[in-house]
Amino acid sequence: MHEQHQILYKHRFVEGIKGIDVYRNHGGYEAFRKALTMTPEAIIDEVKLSGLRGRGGAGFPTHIKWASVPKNTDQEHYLIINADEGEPGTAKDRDLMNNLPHLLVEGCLIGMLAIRARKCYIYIRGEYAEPWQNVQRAINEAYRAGFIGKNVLGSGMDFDVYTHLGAGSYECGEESALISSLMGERGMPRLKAPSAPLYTVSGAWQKPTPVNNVETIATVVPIINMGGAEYAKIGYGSPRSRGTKLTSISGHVKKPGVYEITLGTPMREVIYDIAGGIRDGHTLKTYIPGGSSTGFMMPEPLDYPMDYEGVVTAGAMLGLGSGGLIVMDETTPIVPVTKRLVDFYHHESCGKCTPCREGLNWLAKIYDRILAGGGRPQDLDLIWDICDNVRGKSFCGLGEGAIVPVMTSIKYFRDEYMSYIKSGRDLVMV
Amino acid sequence: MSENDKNTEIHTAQTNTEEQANAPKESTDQQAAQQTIAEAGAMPASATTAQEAEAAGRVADPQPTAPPVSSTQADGGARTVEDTPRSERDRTPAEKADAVKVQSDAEAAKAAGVEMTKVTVDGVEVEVPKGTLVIEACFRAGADVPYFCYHPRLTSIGACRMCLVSVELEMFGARRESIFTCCTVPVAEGMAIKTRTPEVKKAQNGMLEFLLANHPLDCPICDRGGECPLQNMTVAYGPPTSRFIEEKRHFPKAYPISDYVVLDRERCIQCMRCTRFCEEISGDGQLALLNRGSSTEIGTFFGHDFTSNFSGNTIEICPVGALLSRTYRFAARPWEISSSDSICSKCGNGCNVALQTRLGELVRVNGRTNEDVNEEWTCDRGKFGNYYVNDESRLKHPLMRRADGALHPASWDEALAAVAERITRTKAEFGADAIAGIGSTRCTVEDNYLFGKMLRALVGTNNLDHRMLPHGFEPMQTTIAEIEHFKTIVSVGMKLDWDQPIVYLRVFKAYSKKGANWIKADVVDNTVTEALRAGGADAVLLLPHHLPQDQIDRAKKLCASTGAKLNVLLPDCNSWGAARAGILPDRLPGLTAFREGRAHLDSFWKTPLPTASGLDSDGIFDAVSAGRVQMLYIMGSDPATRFHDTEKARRALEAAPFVVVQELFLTETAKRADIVLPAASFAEKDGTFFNIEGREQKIKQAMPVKGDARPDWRIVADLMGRLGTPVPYFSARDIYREYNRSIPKAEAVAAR
Amino acid sequence: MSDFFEDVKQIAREVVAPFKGLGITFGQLGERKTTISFPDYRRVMGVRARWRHVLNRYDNGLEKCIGCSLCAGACPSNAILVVADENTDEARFSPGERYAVRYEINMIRCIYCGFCQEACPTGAVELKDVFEMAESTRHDLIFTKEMLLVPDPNRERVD
Repeated sequence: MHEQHQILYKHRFVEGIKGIDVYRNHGGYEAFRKALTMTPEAIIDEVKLSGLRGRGGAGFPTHIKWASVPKNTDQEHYLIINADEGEPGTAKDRDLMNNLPHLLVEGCLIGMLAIRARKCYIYIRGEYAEPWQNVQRAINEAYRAGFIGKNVLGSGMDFDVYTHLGAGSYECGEESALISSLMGERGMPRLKAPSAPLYTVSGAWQKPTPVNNVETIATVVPIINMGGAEYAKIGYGSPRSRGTKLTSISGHVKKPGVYEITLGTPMREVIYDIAGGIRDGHTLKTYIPGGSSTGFMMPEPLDYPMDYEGVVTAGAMLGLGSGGLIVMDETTPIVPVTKRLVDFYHHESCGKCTPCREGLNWLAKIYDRILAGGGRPQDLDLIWDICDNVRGKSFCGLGEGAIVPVMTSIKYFRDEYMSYIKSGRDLVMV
Repeated sequence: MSENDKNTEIHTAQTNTEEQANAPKESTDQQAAQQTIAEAGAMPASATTAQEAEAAGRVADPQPTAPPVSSTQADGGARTVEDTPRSERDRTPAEKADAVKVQSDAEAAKAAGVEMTKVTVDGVEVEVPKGTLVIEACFRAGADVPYFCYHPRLTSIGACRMCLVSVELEMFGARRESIFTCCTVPVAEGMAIKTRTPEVKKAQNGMLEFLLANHPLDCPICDRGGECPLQNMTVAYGPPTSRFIEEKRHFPKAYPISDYVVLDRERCIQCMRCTRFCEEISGDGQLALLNRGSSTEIGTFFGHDFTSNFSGNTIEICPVGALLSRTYRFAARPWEISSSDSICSKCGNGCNVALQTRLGELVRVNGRTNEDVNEEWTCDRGKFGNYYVNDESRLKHPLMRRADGALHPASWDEALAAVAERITRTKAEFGADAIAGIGSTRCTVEDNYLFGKMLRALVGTNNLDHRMLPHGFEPMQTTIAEIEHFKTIVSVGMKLDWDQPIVYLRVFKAYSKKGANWIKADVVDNTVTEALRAGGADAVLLLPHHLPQDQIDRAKKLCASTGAKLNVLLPDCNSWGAARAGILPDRLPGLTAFREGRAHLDSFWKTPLPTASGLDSDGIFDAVSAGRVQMLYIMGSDPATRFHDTEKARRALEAAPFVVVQELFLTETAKRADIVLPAASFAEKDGTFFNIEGREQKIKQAMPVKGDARPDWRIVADLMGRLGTPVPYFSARDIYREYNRSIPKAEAVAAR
Repeated sequence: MSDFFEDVKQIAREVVAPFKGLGITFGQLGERKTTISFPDYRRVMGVRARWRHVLNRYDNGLEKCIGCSLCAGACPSNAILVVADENTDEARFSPGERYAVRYEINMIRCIYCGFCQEACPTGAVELKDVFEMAESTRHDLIFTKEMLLVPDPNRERVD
């Protein structure tokens, strides 16, 4: 078994790590002190050396995002943290915010230094009341300890960190929709390049506003602490996927939970060793590697490295995703599972673009009908064609992500659909 | 009710189902296409007759021999790539206007020396200004791209996903081709755009199938049917049948959101044109999207009324029948309407409108594009306020006060003879100056010119005025269109969006899009002074006509000192024209002073004109009360309610021995008249209006004259004939020509 | 000689001819008559006969016509006039929002092509076999909605 590095979760289980004193006793805010002595370019270089990529799902290199923020403007910059974690199966940010809120706050401070921002907004999803309380408490403590506020640590710089609770929309996890929502507008995605300027140049309130995931920004702390080059040594897979990834493993495994997994660890080890394997007497039927929008995958192949590239080569449609591994054993009926996912995306669609609004509505109604016993043989082709019409045509990633589980389920579990259509019952009887 | 209500819908839905379930997959495209015309596109939009409808259907029909594109599309019945593009005739007027606007913008940009980019659209190379959207390049190349949410005057959002085209461009170092919504992507040098590839066809097909999934297909009872972009696009690009067999989304039909606008949320396709209009153009933001996902609907906040003064425009830009006019509701089908280009009569902005009539009634007023005046917008007053021309209470016969002291219907011959006789008698007994005339700011230039000519040349008096306020005239120093370029805009004493709606749209455009300062004040006070001082020559001051004279004088001085432009905005549709036509006691046509114009007019009208200045409207009413004026001839004006001192006007009207009134309605003034002559409204006659900026615009007869009424100029011309001068006027154009020649040429004036 | 016989034959034929002709006449006397005594007797029309229009109703008595004007649009001789209005809950004429407040067909302009029936989305207008439409003035031949509508079945029952 590959060794699992504990980078973020080094002090995860320390008693009282939520409080600033314990956190500082374990080396807290040292990275920030170190970063204060560095130039913004040096911080970005360090991140570049580490090979850190966005942990929210898309895997965009963080240093490129930060470097694209204009340097020589007198405009105010803002750092926005995307804590609107809504992907079914994903709970890593909640765990991080609940247990290591100061890690997030420290990461925000370093991120602000890197992009010359003085204000940071943490956009937390509306349902995350508890993580919000923890983060807000940590911010308050950091204010009192002088890490945030006026003239921080004698540097002459003023920092502010604000939290903003969303109103419970999955769509607001999309960066541009998050920006709209943060600005008080309807949480709908906005035009992106090439139609509009990058939001790192002109985002919220027409100011440069890079948006980073909670885990990404928290990872910056150990990177500064240990040095980018050191961090880049961690990982067993592709040279482009370095470091560790928080993964929430759920489903029919013996030890579900949030784990810090070194990128490149084989998927078989993740499921069978780290998560303790499938519950006794059952076998792996299918799993979703990283949040529901990455789609179902079959037990074979399983020996591929779990990193950004490996998952794609193994056949996932949208890559590593946000790190929500859902494992299902052979008792799981796939059609109701897919219907549940379709219902989720249908409910969360913002309604801006036609394919997502009408396509998902249509899919939801077809699934309702199939489950009610009214399926027709041509429905499978119809579902496939609807997905095909949504793919590549919806405005943002929600539509793209929504059809992946549908398409993969039809691809791999056609016989279960046919069973429903023919007999109105599931193949799997629990 | 709902049981039956659903009958028609279910009827179509069932057709779909049966088609889907029973028809073999091999059913030819032709059959399927006929199905489309029968249900989805019950009436191909913009077709004016059934024959045209058939023709339009035929254009959209694929060749029966052409094979389906791919197996997945076979049951969806995708159209073939070889489809001919839609002909010009198959487009709605709105679509044509959009394309024209794009073309003219591109040409203007080219003329202004903007950097051009070369792209190819379907193999046609076009040059477009840098930063142009791909869809505009497509229009310029003559390619037909379907779209719903795109509008040339609104920001692009790419919501409807209908305008998908295949774009080939350099991306990340490689030349790749992918599908984009062309209303959001700006052109780049060397782009190759293809609008008719199989992938694009499939995408367009799919989007329309999505849009129609929840669309009720009640085209036969929808007011938009026949000029509906969704109908048009479905015939041209859509799938022949729908595979949607589930229950459609349901909302209560026809939900009135204001006195003028009715909302049908079932038909809405969430293109957000109306919400963007309210945010970006009219600036009130009263319409918004409510809820999310498939239950997204358009609505007002907390169910408030949609009270915007520009709500009517959302009806016009709605690409489906979701927002509809309550006044036009079920009044006509688009192919039954006859439309004539005219000018709105409700205020002085002079919006270009199309008066649309059916069965001799005005059914709808639509905006026309004029970039210099109203762009393409109208206000609600213009759109819904012009229905007075249909009013049953309008005068239809001449009325004469008989022996019993009441007004009774009379024939034209009787009435005109009485007026002519009275004029001759009064002139003989009391002299020409015992007769006075009041012209109108709501009659055309021709009416006013002929009225002035009659009183001056035939009666021989200068007692002639049209003003209801004791003010002089200030021509606007800028045009309406120029207002949007000023950096500081000061408006005083007005609710600009109600009093001068089109000026308001320009001001709001300057304010919201060009970052101008907009200061609103009640009176010309220190705030105004400071703002104008700060603005310097880049400021404009907007004043209403009704401000006290001292305020206007102060503003004038202020503007002269700071270099700001002063615009005094007149209220009526022909306020400026009445003055131009010479309905002033001391001015001749063309606002010529007596000294400059008399010699010319003496010879032109072939009669010596009275030399002294006449009485103005105040003077006339004083003189009537004093008995010096024995006869009052009022054309199209209502001093009993509109004069600044109504008491004085009413006293004078009671006191006058003889009052003639030409009017549309039995107004307070007309009730006090001895003879009332019914006049034609602006929709029933030809003529010319001058708007507040002095722009000359023609109105055209749109409908037959109500009852026995006559255009004002014809009444005056008849009277002139009875007064002894046979007059050679057969049309308003004759009078307009004469009016133009009656203004002395500038050089002739200078030589004198 | 032969000429003589020919002449005799000819004369005989001419003498017989009227009787032959009359024979057909008298022979037909016994046959069934083609003409009928019209006002007293009426011929049964073919099933596809297209004559006078009717406006149909639903079983519950509501008019099928929704006043959409498609028949007027399809009419090649421009013989149909439809003026629509909005149904209210107090005054309901047809299902849905719209009904025809005026529906007129000019029967002397009509060419009985049946396009209106084709175009009708609800099957409201139908060309039936009633052809007796003679009137003495042109104005009387403009059939109004009241004349075209079939009787309300419910109304009859109530009476």
